Amino acid sequence: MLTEEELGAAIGSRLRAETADLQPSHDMAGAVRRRRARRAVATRTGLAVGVAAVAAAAGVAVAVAPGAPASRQQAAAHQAAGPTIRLDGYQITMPEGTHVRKLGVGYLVGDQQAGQFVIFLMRGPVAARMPKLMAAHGARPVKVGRLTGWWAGARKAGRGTGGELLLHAPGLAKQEFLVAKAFGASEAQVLAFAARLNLAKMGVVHVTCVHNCG
Amino acid sequence: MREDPAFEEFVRARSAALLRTAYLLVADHGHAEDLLQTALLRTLQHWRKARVAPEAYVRQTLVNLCRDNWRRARVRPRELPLLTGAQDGRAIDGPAERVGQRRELVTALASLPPGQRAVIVLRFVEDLSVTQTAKSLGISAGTVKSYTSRAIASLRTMLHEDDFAGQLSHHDATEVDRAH
Repeated sequence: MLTEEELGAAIGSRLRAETADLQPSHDMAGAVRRRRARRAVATRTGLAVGVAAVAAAAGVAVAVAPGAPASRQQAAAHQAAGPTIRLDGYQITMPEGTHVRKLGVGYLVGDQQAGQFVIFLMRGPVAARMPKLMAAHGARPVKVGRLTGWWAGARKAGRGTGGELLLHAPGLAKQEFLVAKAFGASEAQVLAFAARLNLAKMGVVHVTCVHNCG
Repeated sequence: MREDPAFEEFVRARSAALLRTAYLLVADHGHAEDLLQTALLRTLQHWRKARVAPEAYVRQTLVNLCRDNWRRARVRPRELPLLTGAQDGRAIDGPAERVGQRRELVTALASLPPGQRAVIVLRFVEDLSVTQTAKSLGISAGTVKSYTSRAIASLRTMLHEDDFAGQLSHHDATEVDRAH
């Protein structure tokens, strides 16, 4: 039987061998440089972004909150309601009553009648603050995750990194779910992502993909 | 702003090795790249200080970032594991992840608790001493030893030790070659 040190050394060798084919994406130095430049811009505009995020979160809370006054709901509804919405090159067809809002660099999609489940695709400092912001408005983050393959592919294609935040606004019963399509994910990827989240366990009975017609 | 060419050269030369460390720590190619970029970004910001031993600096930053992530993960809702059916891998994973399915030991390593995993990576992949590993992880040498012991025991049960016997003799031969 091998001693601990011997086995450890063998494990180290084999781990090195198993990961010998790992290669970083091309131009890692360039990617770091670009992130540095973005960070500098983000620092300068941080305050403005923060204010925008708070304002947008408040708007979303109005859209999903069952107890919100009717006048405020109507005020929120004018932004993007209707069967067809153009969103940064994506023509998205949705059922009536669905609201889409651009929030920071991500998208929030929710059904105003069903209203309880949204996937929020975003990145950067705004994403980090969102759980707290949404919690302050009565929405409860139930899942925070990342879709590796899609995310990595999106980054390579220059669409930036993506993160996903699935939020649950409590108190409503209708079980429908809309998955936002952003950063160029295919329908299969979105469905696989939904499967990974195991939405059925959370009471979601089906997933509707929003198609990219753009 | 123009970067020091030494930084660019360092990234070109060492990013593959550092990515491997990051990958073994987080067990996910995408996360590992993200983590490495963040670590390199921090290194670049402190390049004057880091240029003395940039690799050690980046490695320590990687470990610190991982520890932050693990701490955050404790208070965050738990992420569900990927489905093991035939569909999921094809839908999401790129070639890198598919190759990952063949990495038996990497998979076993990923199933260890984060602290034990980090100890194995630093001690046996990065070849750090017990003291260096303890310092890097901010834990005592005794804890490093106990983590090592537990991790090795877990890996022993998960994998066939016989597989390593050949590996070990090859490793010994390599060490002897190196010594000569």
